[in-house]
Amino acid sequence: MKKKKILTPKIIGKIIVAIIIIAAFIIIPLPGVVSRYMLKVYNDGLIYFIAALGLSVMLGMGGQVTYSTAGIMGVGAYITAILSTKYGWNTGLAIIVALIAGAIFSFVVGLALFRLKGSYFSFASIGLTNLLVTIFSNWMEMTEGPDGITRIPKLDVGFMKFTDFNSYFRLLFIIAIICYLFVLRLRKTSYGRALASVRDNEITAASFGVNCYMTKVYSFVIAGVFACLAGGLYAVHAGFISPEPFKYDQSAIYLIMIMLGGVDSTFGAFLGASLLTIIPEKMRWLNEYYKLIYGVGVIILMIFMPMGLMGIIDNFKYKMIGKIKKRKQSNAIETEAN
Amino acid sequence: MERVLLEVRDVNKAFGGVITAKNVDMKVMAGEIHGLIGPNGAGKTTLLNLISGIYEVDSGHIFFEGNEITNLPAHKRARLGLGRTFQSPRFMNRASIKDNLELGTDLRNQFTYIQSFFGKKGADFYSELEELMEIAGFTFDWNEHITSLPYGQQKLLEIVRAMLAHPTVILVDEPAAGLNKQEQERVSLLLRKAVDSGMGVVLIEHTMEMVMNICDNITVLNFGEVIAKGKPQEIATNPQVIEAYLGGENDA
Repeated sequence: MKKKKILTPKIIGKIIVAIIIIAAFIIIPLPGVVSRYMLKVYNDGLIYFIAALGLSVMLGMGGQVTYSTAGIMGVGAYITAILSTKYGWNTGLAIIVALIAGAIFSFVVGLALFRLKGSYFSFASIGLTNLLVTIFSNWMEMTEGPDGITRIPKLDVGFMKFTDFNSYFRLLFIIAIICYLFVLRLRKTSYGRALASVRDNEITAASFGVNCYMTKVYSFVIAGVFACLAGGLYAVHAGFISPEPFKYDQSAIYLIMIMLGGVDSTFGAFLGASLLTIIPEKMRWLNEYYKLIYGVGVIILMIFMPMGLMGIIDNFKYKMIGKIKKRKQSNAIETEAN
Repeated sequence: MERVLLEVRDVNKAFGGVITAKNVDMKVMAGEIHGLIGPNGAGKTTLLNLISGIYEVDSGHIFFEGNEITNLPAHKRARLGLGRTFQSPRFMNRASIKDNLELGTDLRNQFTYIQSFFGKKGADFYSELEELMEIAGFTFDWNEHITSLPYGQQKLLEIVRAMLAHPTVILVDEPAAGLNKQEQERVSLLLRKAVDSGMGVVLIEHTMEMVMNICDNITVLNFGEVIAKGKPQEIATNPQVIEAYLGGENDA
């Protein structure tokens, strides 16, 4: 039952993944490797991945379906944009303030929303997003309404200024990896287990000392901070924000990202965010039929892959491991018999 | 003098017009397996739920190690040392065996989430787990999903998980239901191990042979009321209990 510390196929797999990640980090932003437009698409994908990671804590680990990701991402984006354009703050500092504000906002709202359970909570989160979008669209003096805020300065962290998509790619890549490792670590902690126990059975969770209500609130705070980080980065990367990308339907896309990738997997969030960012670009030739195909694809996904792509990979892995174990057992029996 | 770990005093609970606990009194001592028996619908599981804080009492008091816990939420009672298992095993079904067992050790360690995030380790529980699994009588690959285990092993593992949390009292709800003779024997050994290490056990069970063999004291419930209390031999010969429960079962 003790862990064996040897170079297992799992560890070899991890080394290969690490090499691919490092190669992508070095090669993609090199001049001439991808077009400027596709680099922007990749950058957007990384930003969506950060937001989706926060959602994976709530949905995958905690089983809480929320439609507030885009709305809270808007909070982060607007705070960053307002502080940097209207008050002349440094953009790096503005993002940090957005994160703190996002944490406080999510905590207070989470305390109220988690008085509700299950689908009631989900419906309330739709209300929250619509409420936020209404504020973004109508608080003219601060948000400039539907026209949005333009000329948001590029990210400046004092010793480094990010002016082109290449430098943003490197920055977003590093932030995304840090966020990814954070969530991966979270899964292995007592909080990760508490959240999973709340997801699977609240009575069992409480019987093992888990405060279900506060555990869910904390997951909302983590998702909120990730969303605000993604929002702040989105604002400085795009240089322009309007209420449009923070609407309810975008929240649904974040949910689909997690479902497509696999709710139980942190890497699934990356797969989902990548596919849902790149596929629309590759399907542009379908013009008006794009959304039709997209919708059908989502329905097929829910029917045939309820646990997402990583669910299929995991199932395959378990089957293979099972077969290997059986073979080893039968070999051992044969050896004994001989 | 025997130490009282858990005391239920004059507890009442009704769901609408259905009375499930009526003036219930019960004491559980350190190192004691206290049987809680009665016909189906007698209010046994309801009483466990009242003790563990899943339900709130309508009136009455519950004391744990001398302190009143009547108004504490379930998670705080668990942290004080009230462990429990369920009629049907309740695990994190999408998690590994390891994660499910660590839920028990998390309760024992009671580290803050931040301490756990930064890798604070509790006392090594491998040797303890190995000892318990030897009693439980099976081994497993703990990276496997919990659902890969057969039902009987899941029930045994649920007791092991509760014991890994080092509770003061374990509330065990029908641990032998659906198990074969051998597995029932393993359940008895695990519970005996728990009381030998100073815990108190409240055991709901319908397998009378097991109850009579391992319980030190028994409380009998019928329609939410305590109809008898005493040593197994006294209960076995109590005419009221025979009429309400034991006799009825034999007749059937």
